[in-house]
Amino acid sequence: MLIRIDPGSSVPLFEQLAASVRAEIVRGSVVPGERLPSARDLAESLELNVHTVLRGYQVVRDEGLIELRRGRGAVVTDRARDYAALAELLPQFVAEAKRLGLSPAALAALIREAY
Amino acid sequence: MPGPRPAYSSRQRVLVFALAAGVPIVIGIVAVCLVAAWRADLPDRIAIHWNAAGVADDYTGFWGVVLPILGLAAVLAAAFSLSAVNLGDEAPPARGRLLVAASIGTTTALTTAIVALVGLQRGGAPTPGIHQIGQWLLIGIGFGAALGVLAFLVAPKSVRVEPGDDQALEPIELSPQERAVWTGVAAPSRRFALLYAGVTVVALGVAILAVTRQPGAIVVAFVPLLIVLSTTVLRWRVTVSRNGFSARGALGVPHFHIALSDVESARSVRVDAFSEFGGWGLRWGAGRTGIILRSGDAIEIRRRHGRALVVTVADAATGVALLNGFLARARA
Repeated sequence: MLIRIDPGSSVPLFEQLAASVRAEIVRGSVVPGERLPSARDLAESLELNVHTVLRGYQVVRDEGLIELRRGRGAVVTDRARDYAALAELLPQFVAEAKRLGLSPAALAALIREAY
Repeated sequence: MPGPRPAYSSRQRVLVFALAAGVPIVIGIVAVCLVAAWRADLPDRIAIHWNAAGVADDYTGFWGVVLPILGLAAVLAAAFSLSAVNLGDEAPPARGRLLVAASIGTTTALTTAIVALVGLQRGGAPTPGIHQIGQWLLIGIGFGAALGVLAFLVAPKSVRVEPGDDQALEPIELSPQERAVWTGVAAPSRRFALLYAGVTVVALGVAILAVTRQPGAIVVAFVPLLIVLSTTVLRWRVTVSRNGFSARGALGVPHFHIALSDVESARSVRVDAFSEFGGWGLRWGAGRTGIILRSGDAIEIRRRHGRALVVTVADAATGVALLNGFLARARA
């Protein structure tokens, strides 16, 4: 599971973390039942506050992709299994948007509109 | 990359097939000729099975001996030769030779034992006891091992095509202030985990049996310790971060850490657990320390000081790309 954080970005750090975790689950690089690294370890590696990491994890938990359990840490849920089809569609979306010269924000706005 | 290429040239395949299939079949035919030559001397009922007390309890006739010899040779020859001839190009060089050796060795061992079993019953001799059969089984295994070694030396090495590792050379580009971490879990395949669980249960059973028969404090202490030790090296958390590389056992120990400044180079490789490290677990092989839980993708790190480390882990290419990204940034 690859997590990248850019402190220079305007996106809050916990949201960047959540975005990375979400993307990696959808990509299938972590599988249902697998335990994610502890918040403390991640905080140390990424030079973040533990609470920032936990907040990021909570965002992904609220989306149903992971479970947070005392003593067991963060575990990928079974729901993540259903994301394979979505994971195949996403690169197509992005490729098409890039071909049309759409910004990520514009693509996101289009998706939000379609909901 | 082109499709899978055969690991053997067509000339080598003929030799491999002759060894892995031809030799066992010749052994089978010689054995049958021998038994046929003895036919007049053999009793009507040839003992083929012994009960727990060592007394023969099942018998067969002439064909009941001949057909199994031929069947055994045919099945072993077919199974081993087909695997040996159809090796993929990623197979390690020793695998084809091992298959040839196993084909000839197994057939020799089993056929020797069967032929000896029949030979002992010639000319109205008393039905052989279990210890005689055991002796001949050991002799057969000795024969088989010797011929197997010989076959291994004669059989050609297959050609190994190294998978292109250019994907590993493409580092993840990191901006100066960017932070990143990659983590993976190194764990055995499900099949190996089941096998391991089975062996553990058997070991526990044997220990309990030994204890109930005679109190053996050493066994009581030793087996759980062995289980804890082997379990902690069966699951590893592998991390690539600004601190370098780390692999930590399930219980927090053992812990391998390689500082970024100590990393000479990193690449993703394919590892064959058995031929490169002689098995699974924490291994030492050919200048490299290995955390080897399955065959397949692995991260290989060469160090400035100390032994190279190899860890089999899923998505190894991403971990290597990030480590190389950190290296590139540090050296820029």
